[in-house]
Amino acid sequence: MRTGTDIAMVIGINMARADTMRRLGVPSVAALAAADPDELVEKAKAAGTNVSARQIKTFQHHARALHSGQPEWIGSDCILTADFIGLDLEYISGLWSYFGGSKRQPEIFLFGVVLERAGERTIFQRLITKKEELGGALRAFDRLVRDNPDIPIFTWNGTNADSALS
Amino acid sequence: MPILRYLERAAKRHRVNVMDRLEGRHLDLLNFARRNVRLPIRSFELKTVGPYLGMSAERDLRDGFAAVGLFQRHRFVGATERASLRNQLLAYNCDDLEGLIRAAAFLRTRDLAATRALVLTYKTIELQSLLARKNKHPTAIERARDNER
Repeated sequence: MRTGTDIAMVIGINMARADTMRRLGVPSVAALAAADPDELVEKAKAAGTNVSARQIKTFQHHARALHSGQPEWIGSDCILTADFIGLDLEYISGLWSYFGGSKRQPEIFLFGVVLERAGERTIFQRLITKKEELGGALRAFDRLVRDNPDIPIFTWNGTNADSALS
Repeated sequence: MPILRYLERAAKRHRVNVMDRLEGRHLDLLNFARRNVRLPIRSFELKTVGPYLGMSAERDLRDGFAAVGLFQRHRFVGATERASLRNQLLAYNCDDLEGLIRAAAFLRTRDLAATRALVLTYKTIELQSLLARKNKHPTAIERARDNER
């Protein structure tokens, strides 16, 4: 157990909120994990800060995980299948595309695909150095997706524009 | 920007119909993880989650920004260094995929010890080689074209 872990480690608690929590007598994840949400809401109100019991309960899930060193399951979404296609792309974005890009340069420069199927695992990769090569890589990926119509496609940060830093 | 936006943009430009095929089949594991679990680590970045789920700490896990740096260098160096940078980029991508595989295994089984104990073996193949294979599931247009031949 990590008793002294700072409150700012908790997902959703930024530096300003961490200061508020410390002022409310919750300086660590251990203290947050053990706190009574309703009591904390009252304390926050009295101190002129707005925080809901629901927010505190959400923070507490991560506080308990950090405190115990064990994952805390909070949802029960659909069961994932063992077979899947995993996709990871490397691409030029942000400042790189502004300062370092060229017209002939592909935006996506590396295709990485894993196929997990019936206990077998294959990784397919393609480094794309010219824009013209991207079409072929896309068609090859399309072929893989089409040839395996019954399995899902997984990504990490594939659809959400949020930072991966939660 | 998330990777599917890049994929969509490129697919549109190259007239490859892959996005329709992803509809109803795509699942973002980062969103899935955020909805279902809190881990005793600070962030959900794959380079943090991967080692937590058993990836070797010796792996040189870079962020995407560093990978772009390697790729930019790759464009301007001689053949020997280019080959080395290419291998680094492919290895970096393999590490990301390994993180994804471990995340999928953990989210499916909810078994941390078993996920950490996973020994990942795989064969690596050039993506383009898929185009040389016979199509298992031809589209109606392709079937018609084949029948005409």
